Amino acid sequence: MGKVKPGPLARRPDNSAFKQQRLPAWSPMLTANSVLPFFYFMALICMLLGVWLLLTVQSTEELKLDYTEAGTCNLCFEKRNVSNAAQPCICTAVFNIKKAFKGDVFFYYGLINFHQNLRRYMDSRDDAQMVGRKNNLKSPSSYCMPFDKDKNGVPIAPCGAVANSIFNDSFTLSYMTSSGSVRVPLLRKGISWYTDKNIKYRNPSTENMTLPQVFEGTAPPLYWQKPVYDLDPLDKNNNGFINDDLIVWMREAAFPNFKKLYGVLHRANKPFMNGLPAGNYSVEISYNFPVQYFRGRKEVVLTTLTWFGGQNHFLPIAYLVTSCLILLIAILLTVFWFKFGKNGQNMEE
Amino acid sequence: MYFNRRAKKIHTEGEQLVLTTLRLEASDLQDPGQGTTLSARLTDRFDKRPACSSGGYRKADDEMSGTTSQADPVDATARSVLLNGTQTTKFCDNHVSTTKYGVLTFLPRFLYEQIRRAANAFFLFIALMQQIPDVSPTGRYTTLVPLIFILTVAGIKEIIEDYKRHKADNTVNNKTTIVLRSGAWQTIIWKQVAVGDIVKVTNGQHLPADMVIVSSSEPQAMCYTETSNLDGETNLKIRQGLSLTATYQTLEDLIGLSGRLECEGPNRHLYDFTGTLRLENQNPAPLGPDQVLLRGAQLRNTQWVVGIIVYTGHDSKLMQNSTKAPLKRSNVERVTNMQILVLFCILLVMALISSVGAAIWNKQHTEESCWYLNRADDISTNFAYNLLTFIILYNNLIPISLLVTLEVVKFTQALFINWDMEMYYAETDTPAMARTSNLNEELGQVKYLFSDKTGTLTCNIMHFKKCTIAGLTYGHFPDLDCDRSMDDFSTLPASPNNSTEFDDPTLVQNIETHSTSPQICEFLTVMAVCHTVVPEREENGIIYQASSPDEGALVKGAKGLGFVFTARTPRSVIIEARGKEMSYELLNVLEFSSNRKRMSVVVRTPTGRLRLYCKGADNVIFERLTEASQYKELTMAHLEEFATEGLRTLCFAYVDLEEEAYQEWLKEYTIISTVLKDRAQKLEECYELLEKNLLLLGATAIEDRLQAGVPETIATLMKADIKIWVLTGDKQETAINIGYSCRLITHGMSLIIVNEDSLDATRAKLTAHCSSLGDSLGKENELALIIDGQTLKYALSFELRQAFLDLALSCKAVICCRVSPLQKSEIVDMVKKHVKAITLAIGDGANDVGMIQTAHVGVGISGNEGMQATNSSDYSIAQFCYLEKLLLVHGAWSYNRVTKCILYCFYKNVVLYIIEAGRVMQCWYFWLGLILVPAACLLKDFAWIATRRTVRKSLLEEVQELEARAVDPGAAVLRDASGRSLNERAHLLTRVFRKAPSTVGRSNSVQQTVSHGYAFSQEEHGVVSQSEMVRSYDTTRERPSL
Repeated sequence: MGKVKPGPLARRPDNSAFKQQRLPAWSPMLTANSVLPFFYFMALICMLLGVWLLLTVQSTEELKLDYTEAGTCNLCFEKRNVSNAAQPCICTAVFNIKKAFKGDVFFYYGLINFHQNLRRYMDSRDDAQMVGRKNNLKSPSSYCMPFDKDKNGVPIAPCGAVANSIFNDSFTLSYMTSSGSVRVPLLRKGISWYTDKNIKYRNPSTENMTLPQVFEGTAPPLYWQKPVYDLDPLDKNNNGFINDDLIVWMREAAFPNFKKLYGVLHRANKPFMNGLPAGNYSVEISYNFPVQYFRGRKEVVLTTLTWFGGQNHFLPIAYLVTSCLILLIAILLTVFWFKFGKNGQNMEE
Repeated sequence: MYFNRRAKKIHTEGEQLVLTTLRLEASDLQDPGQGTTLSARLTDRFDKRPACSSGGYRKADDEMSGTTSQADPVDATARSVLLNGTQTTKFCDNHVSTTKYGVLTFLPRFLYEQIRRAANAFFLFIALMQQIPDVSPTGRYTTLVPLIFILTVAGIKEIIEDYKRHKADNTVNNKTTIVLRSGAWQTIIWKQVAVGDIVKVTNGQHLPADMVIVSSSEPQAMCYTETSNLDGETNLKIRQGLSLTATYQTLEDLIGLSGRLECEGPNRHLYDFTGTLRLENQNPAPLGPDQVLLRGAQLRNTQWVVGIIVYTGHDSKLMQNSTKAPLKRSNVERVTNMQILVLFCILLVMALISSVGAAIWNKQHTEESCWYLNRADDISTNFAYNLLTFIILYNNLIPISLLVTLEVVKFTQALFINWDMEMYYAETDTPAMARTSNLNEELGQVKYLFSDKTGTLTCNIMHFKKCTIAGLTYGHFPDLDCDRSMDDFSTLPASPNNSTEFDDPTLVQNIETHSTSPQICEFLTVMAVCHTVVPEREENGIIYQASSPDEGALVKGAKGLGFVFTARTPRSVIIEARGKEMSYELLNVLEFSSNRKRMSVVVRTPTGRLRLYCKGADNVIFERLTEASQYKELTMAHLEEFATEGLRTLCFAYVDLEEEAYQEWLKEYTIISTVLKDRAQKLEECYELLEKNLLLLGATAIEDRLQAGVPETIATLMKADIKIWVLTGDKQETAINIGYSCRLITHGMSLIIVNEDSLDATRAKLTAHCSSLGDSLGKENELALIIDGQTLKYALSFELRQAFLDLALSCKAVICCRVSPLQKSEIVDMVKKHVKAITLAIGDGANDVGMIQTAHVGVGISGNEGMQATNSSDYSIAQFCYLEKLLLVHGAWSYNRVTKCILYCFYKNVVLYIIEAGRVMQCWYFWLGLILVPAACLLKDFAWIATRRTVRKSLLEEVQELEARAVDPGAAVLRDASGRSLNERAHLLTRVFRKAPSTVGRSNSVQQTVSHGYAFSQEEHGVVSQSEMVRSYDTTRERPSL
């Protein structure tokens, strides 16, 4: 159309496959003959996948220990109830591993009924500050309000509710043998995502200054006991915004019950070369984080992983159920097909 | 080619009656009238819309607002036009604009139009809400940017469309015409034409503005116009100037004109005009509608006409009548809108539930308990804010892209319609055209089809095909060329084939030798003498100008057989019979009228004998034959034969008159023709005296050619369960004839003919038929209902509407004849309102505009000279038979595809929004889920479809399967519903049994026999009577020219 062709048939439409709607098309005929094999095939595939996933999931080991009021933590729980948060409290919880954890063992801390996913809470942070922008260090974004400045108007670094409520319990895991307890070595670094550690979180440029100097003129968040540049006294490079624990915390969980990585078993020496051996263990907790106000629980989770992740039965079960459903429908359809459909007549009208 | 014009008779009296009653009502309702007139005019001004959208067929409410000026003749807006002088008052100029927007008004008007749409308003609201900080859980511009994009796309479309209108206006405004300015004829463009100008329009030109005739090239200032642009009547109308001014023909005369022309103010009534011409030193002369030529009309058959402009531009009757084309919305669109509304309600409910949930949660998670959250001054603890937040969060439930996606999809479908080779008519180089794209899917759901007859079903070309003279039939017999198979009619559209002309050597031989030779000569003489055709000599032959195409065909037929009608003088007809020139003195013309169904002429033959020639419908002629007349039975049998072929027949007879008897009659005639009271009726009685004791000569058969493939298309559409109603302005006989020839009515069908002339009679007839139908009322019976316009007027009244509808819906075919354009649209409107079904109207002339605009889908036949129907239609095709592909292929596909697209849009958005809400995509989980989710979702569909196909499969599915297995599906198609194959005899038997209920409805007026339609259509009760017109020509002289 539009082109002006001379001649008496100037407005004759083009005889092309597209314009005359003659392009090849494929629309499957969903007859019993084609659908039945497909159903049986799908049922088989889903069944195989389901069984395989189930076996994989079954091969992982997991141990959960709710230490909120366990063992001696009972006292600390009470202590956190009254407003003496500054006082340190250390308690111990014991547990037993019946079957050795083979391979890499991951140590998580878990929180129950903690709403890291509240929209306003999630927004209460300043990513520009965390990426090391000087301007935002001194004047945090309004999203951080009211955790942007302290009572004296000094800007808070890192600002916002997320950073303010960082999980500040710390753990020491011990393996109790007959000859006494052995401390279980945990790797506390390399637990954050590469992109978080190297791109999303950076300290403000130091320019020959020390980290405390850079953070001069800022205040630590309200509930923090230590300033941000002094989070890891053992490793200078793990301080400031690039502290692994801070980064892990700042990646907000989607659900109110979540677990976050605390450390990975260091398998350099015996008896931990092959993972955690069976036996009794104790975990020493520096108990700081108050959960009783919001009726929360705290736990420690030890688990091994496969390529598929941790222990989660949802997907394998979903596959198995789907496979059963397909099979059931396929069988029903087969019955119908035998009864009515073989000679396939038009029954309409 | 001035003959062969489409001649459509519109029952003007009927329409006039309706208008009058309306007008009375209007004047009753609005007593002072002045204020309402002004406001009506003001609203008219604001509604400057496409110029040629409709002719005079206004709706009743338009009539109400517009008629007050009519009811009140002392109108303040009455104008006085000075001749050959500068006007004292300023009138509207002749510039016409039909555009929707101006440069400045574009943005506000366009935005207003867009925001009025519910979906756009909703998204604007969302976009605004998103600008409030802390309320929106999503980004600020996630709605605003797509909305602006959508509006931009729509805006560009509007600009392009308006630009086209602007261009079309410019072409019209810049047409040229000849105007008398400063003492000389000057060629100027239309928009410069002003009130009071003296304009000269030549043959074939359109009139630039409404004007009063001064003089013309024809005798007595007569002129012919074709007003199809205004009222759809395609026959030529005669208008006549005042005899006072008829002599003002030369330039000097016209310059010398001085005086005043007074007339009423601009109004929208096409058939009304009152004015006075006050020439200096002359008595004032009254002016009526017969002296007025309207803008939009075309001058035909007249060398030139000179007129005084009275209304220009938007004051002209054409522009006053242009109404806004109604905005049609498709059913699917309505359902979609409904669904959007439902979705919006779901959204609100969801937001409410969520907000309540949030309130409960907030109660539990207070500032005290959740020390880590800052709940103190959090606005999300406020219920109202939460509600807004949730609405914004869930707004994706309503797909913003739906409207724009649909528009694109439908636009593409429209392109496919335009591109379809099988709907391209090579003859006139016209492809099919979808003028609106938003009704594509309606095409697939059409249930009622209203078709015009002339020009739509028929080609409107008449051919003299056969005749029977003295008991012998002549004519082209096995007419194989008409029976085209289904395959080639689409590729080989009918061409006006010469082989359809009368061509029978036996006739020519028989003139010479056969014993019936005198009868044959007499017969051909009648054909050449008894008519009102005017011959016009051109370089290469004679052109016949006939206001009735049938007469034209007959005269042409006679010419082909050696009886050439060569010239007409006021008192005689000159023919050249087989080379000999003969002059028949024309003594009297006994005029045609639809009551008489015949026409006669009294002539003095060259041999000096006094003879009456008569032609007319078979029943009226047979009644008046003498006992001694021969060939009655044979002719009757031949007529039957012709009628079954769908030919239009006319009987020819003559009688020799006695000199004394004639003189006596003539005396009586001269007395009666001056009687004032009931003159027409008395004249008819008087004619009756002469038309008796006739001697039958024979009969002619004229073919009103159907368009190619019409019967096949109608059969296919009926098979698709589409009901076809034919609404025509033509006569009952011809309509029934066409009904038979296009196989809408079959010979086994009973006809119910309803012709009543009062409300009570109509009521009685309708109820009688309804009750005789009994149980089969409302079901489809083998019946055809034929109703005429007069009866329809009563049948469409509120009281009888339901009964009429019940009866009409029980019939397989409905034919309404002699209906006015207004009635056409009323019928469509009635069906549309009372039956929940999609209606389609198809027509070619301006008289179909009303019904095309009223129906859900309007289809115009394009490629003919009148573009009115095309311009107001939604789809235009060149041939009726293309309707088959348009409805059954494009319509069905569009419907299927559009609905799928809509459902997919909703589905997609719901899915998208679920994914957006759940931000958990743990890597392996996600990928493994990707296999599982579709499998689980599709399971249900697959299983359902496969099961249904196994247990109950449709014919289509079965054929598909058989084709896939490369088995011949023919057996499946032919198998009957019960699953058994029937043989031919059983088929016939079932048909017989099915037909049974129709016999119940057979009453006295239900006729089984075929009535022989006669061919005759002429202007009745015109300004110039038939005999006057015949008398006013002398084609042996040259016409005057300026």
